[in-house]
Amino acid sequence: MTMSRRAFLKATGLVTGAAAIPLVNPVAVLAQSEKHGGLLRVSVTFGLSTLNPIMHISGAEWIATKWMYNNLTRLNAKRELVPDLAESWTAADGAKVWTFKLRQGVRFHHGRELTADDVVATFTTLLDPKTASPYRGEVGPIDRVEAVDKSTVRFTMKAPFSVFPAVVTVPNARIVAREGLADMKALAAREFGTGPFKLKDFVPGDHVTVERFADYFRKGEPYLDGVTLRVFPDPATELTAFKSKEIDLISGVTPDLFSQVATQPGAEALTVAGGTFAAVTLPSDKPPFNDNRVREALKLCVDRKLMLAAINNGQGELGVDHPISSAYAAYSPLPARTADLDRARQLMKDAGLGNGVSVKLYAANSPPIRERIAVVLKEMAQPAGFNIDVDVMAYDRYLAQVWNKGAMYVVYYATRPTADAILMKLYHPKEGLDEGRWAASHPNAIRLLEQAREIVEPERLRRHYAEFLKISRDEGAFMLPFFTNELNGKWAYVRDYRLSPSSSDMVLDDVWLAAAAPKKKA
Amino acid sequence: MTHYALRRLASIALILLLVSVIVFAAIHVLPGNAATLILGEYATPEAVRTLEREMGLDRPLPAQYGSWITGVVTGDWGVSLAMKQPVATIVASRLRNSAFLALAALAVVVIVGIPLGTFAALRRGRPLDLAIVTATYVGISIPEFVTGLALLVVLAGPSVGWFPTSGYAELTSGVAEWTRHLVLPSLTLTIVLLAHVVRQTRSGVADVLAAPYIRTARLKGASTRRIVLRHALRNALLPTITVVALDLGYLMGGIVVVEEVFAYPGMGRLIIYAVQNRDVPLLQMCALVVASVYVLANFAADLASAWLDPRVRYS
Repeated sequence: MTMSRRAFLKATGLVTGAAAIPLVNPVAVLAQSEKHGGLLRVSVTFGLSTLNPIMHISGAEWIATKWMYNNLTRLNAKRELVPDLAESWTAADGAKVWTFKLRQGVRFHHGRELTADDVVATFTTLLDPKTASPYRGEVGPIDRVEAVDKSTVRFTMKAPFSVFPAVVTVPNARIVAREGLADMKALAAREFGTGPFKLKDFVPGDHVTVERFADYFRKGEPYLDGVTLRVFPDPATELTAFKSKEIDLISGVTPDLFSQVATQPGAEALTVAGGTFAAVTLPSDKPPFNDNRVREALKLCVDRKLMLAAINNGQGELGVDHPISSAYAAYSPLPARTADLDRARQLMKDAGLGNGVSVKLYAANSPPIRERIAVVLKEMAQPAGFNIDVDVMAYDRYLAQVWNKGAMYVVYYATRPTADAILMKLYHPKEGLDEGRWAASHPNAIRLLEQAREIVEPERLRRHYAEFLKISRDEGAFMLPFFTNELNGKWAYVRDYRLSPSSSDMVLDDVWLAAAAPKKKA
Repeated sequence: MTHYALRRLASIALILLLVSVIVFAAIHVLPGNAATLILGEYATPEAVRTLEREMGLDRPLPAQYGSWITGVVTGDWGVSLAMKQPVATIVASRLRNSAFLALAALAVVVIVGIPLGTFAALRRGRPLDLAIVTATYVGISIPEFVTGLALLVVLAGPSVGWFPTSGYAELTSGVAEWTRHLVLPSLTLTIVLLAHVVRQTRSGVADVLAAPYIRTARLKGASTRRIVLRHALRNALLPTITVVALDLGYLMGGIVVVEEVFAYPGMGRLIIYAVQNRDVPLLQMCALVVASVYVLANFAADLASAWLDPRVRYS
């Protein structure tokens, strides 16, 4: 059906061009019409429980709500901040007050026009402790949100917060129409968004299908008639479905299957450096890791290049024990760490642990990278005298008994919009979790993070963070070996798709299907 | 007979009640709950408490169980904690999908398995018998996820591509499309189950063929066809019916694996989902449904045996 429509448009485009040479540029008409139509089928391998943007925490859910909703701003594939529902924003009072000017004439899928009240309602709900939104702590120190007029929203912070316009790109700050927020339960399976696509069909845990929203504010877009996101619990099935062209785009290819995508004629394996990582916490408030020599010794045991090759097929960027990868604007390179077992042994001796030390390392079984890091670390650290007892457990048990309880375990974090978000989360005892129990012994470093929030000028901010990153590398409470690349696979007929360093930022506004795409029902 | 049936139904109700208590207790032995999983690694103690209160998870366990069982009896199955949708709606559609799968597999097993077993019995010790027995044994020895993936890669791969790799098509999109989606997952289940029925039928028919009354029938001049269909099979099939009923229970387990492999939205995947998300109302209902299918199938098998064999009397 889509093909016949495309063929028809193509034909009419040619005819128009031929008949009206002086008036219309035939190439432009053709290009315009060629892009429209088709159903894009995307696959994921994990959870799709809810479509409620205020509450969702899984990558698949973030992908789906990105299609149906908009944020105030967005990060493009180069991670530059660009307008979304807000067309401009300004800071006042030393980055303490932020004012966003909304785009005019934006419509929700249910017909009404977007106003400042919807933005206020969204943030009020998000920040309300009664909502229990998982992201409540990740949108910055907001004190008040108010509508100045119909299209102006003002956020007043408790303290200066220079990166706020980038922070509102988080998935939980998608703008929901206020009538949708009245029933948070229903919002799990309905949507009240302004995005390029509207909800057509949703079976939790299985698939979600969205269809083109004709009144989208980016006129002429989206090009696709619809998109389906399907969950494949088994990556081998997912890959076969892709090879048989039942799937056009695999979001999140596992590293071991990536080469199979790459060698498939007509398929494209996409990779981009991201900010996702797994790291090991070194609880610094008690022995043995309260001694920085022991932390340093463990970090020195790790052959990061080998670890990356063994665990992620070499698809990634080497880390130096801090969470800022090249995907962040605040990134500043530090010399790579190489394994040095002699020095590690010497440091252990200096710390009085010449005879070795036994520690217990916990790892949840999901995602698999956690367990792999634990097992490889056990082997690599053994020669320096670390006897690591690895305890792999189900995710629910990990959450209840290990996570954030001051033990040595493997954390896993997805890319955040700003360096502030991930650094605060990892190190700050109040704004974040301080999972390494490190803040108390390093108050100056924590102060650096707090001061960063006052710095508006990007280059100055980068230099300021560089100081923290160095401390974090040399004394920090995390052994962070590498960042994983984002890996996608797609067929060549999927055009203008740009893989974002943050995998859930899947923007499909201007993606289109070339004529070679297989025929299928919407 | 009626008295027997009523007594059996009462014991079935008791079994289901016990199942629900055991599942409820088992899921609460594990640490954590739906609230900790909804919030994941973003949880704050305050947010966990808020969600627990909202979902009623802060109440004592007997009270939680009490209100759940009251709901079930009065027809209110509750709301899924993770999906926020009525459990009844979710379970109904998933159960229907799985039923298609299970019935398709079971039908093929019965239609193919009984004749195969009979042929094997008639050709006991000869190459055909050996081939049938070996082939079905290979089928049962290989786990479902291997069989499933092998079928998938070969028959749904790009070079052959006869069937879709995965998913489910609504009947509204056409019977052909619907069937195409059922073939591979139900074939996987069939391959695993075939051995039970074939072996049982084979030994049943073989036993009966050795019985004196078959010799009598033969001496009377009855054709092999008539002997097998009229005399042997009817008597030999009794144990097979029990095996088929037990297989239905086995099928419920097989479905969990097969539905994961073929990304098929049925009860199997729903159970995994409910466990992973600690979605107690959803899991409770799934467990009840699976247990019901199992005990009712056995009950039906017993009734069928009585009907087929006048010597079987329940009192």
